[in-house]
Amino acid sequence: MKHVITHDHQIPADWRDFWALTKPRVMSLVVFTALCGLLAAPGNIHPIIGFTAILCIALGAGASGALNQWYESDIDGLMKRTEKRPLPDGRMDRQSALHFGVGLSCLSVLIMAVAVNYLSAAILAFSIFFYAIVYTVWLKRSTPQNIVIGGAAGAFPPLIGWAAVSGDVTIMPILLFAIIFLWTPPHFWALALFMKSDYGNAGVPMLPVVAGRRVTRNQIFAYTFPMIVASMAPFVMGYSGILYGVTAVVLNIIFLFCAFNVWRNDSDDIATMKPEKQLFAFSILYLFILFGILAVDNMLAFEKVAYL
Amino acid sequence: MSQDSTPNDPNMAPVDSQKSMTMEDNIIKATPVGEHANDPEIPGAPRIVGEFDAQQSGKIRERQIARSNMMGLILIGLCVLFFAITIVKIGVYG
Repeated sequence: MKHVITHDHQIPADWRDFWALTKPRVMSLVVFTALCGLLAAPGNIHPIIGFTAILCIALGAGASGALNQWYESDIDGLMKRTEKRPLPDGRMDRQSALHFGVGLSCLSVLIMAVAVNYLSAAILAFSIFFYAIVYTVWLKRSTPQNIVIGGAAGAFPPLIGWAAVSGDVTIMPILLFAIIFLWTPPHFWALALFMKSDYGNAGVPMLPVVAGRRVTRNQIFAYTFPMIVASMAPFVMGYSGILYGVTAVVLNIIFLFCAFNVWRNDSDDIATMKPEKQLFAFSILYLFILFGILAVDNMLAFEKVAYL
Repeated sequence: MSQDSTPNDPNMAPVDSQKSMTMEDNIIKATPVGEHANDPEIPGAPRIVGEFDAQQSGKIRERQIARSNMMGLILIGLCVLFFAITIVKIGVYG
């Protein structure tokens, strides 16, 4: 009689599990912001090279996600939000995830260097390092400021997109970086407020777990102001036109209103955390619209539409 | 196979009308694998390796096929991309 194995991961993982390892939903936002950075940059890029740059950024983001899931498979299994991921669910062994993540990282950086330019490849390599090592390994389990510093990892894509076109980094891409960097704390803390028990069970020191919901709500409201300043800066400093300026004002008013509602809310019951859920949902929409309009505005300014 | 072997000879493959099938039938029968794993009469049928039972061997084979197909598509995509990049670079620097 054959011995029946009990560990599913001895059976090779399905290719869909590798796809899930790349965090496709996060990747979509990364690709979008990178594309906006690429379109907003002065100068032109050949569509095939532009496509390659975006592909490399997507691969790099996927690699970061895979390395993140490889390292965090222990705590992912303790949280409802992440327990169905391939590693905690036993559909894949950790070694495969590690090899996949490292391989994809090398591939993305090498293609970027060969096909696009060395600066964008260097920033891409640094962003993978920042997310996989600085955020995942060093910060996430050690400080409640994890996502404040770690937010930088998600802020690199528009910078890479810009560098892919222009070959340099000026004030404008740094402003794009700053917008996402300052947007990350209100976005993630809104999520952490209604996922507090999940993070608590896993022992992740998110701000609501360590300092409580009141402090987190104050911090969300406080971080909204520098984020608004950063998002208005491209218009105020003359790097974008009236279309972006008007859109940014409208979006910032709505964001501030949502953050104010979160700040006013004192509830500890997840069922009555509607303002937190609204802020989380709107923050995603905010970034999509803001960067989309910025790209359109700059394309019009640089008359790129005719080229494309 | 020797001519004087009897029907009970363990070295002789069993004669079965159902086993005399065409290559197409064999492929169709071998593809879903599981229940046909280790069947010596089916060319290409997966063999049970190590401690896996027939069902697991079948599942492994299915996933290997799916992953190979996906890898093939990705490699073709990369070939096309690199070819296109080469043409662009030649156009720019050539």
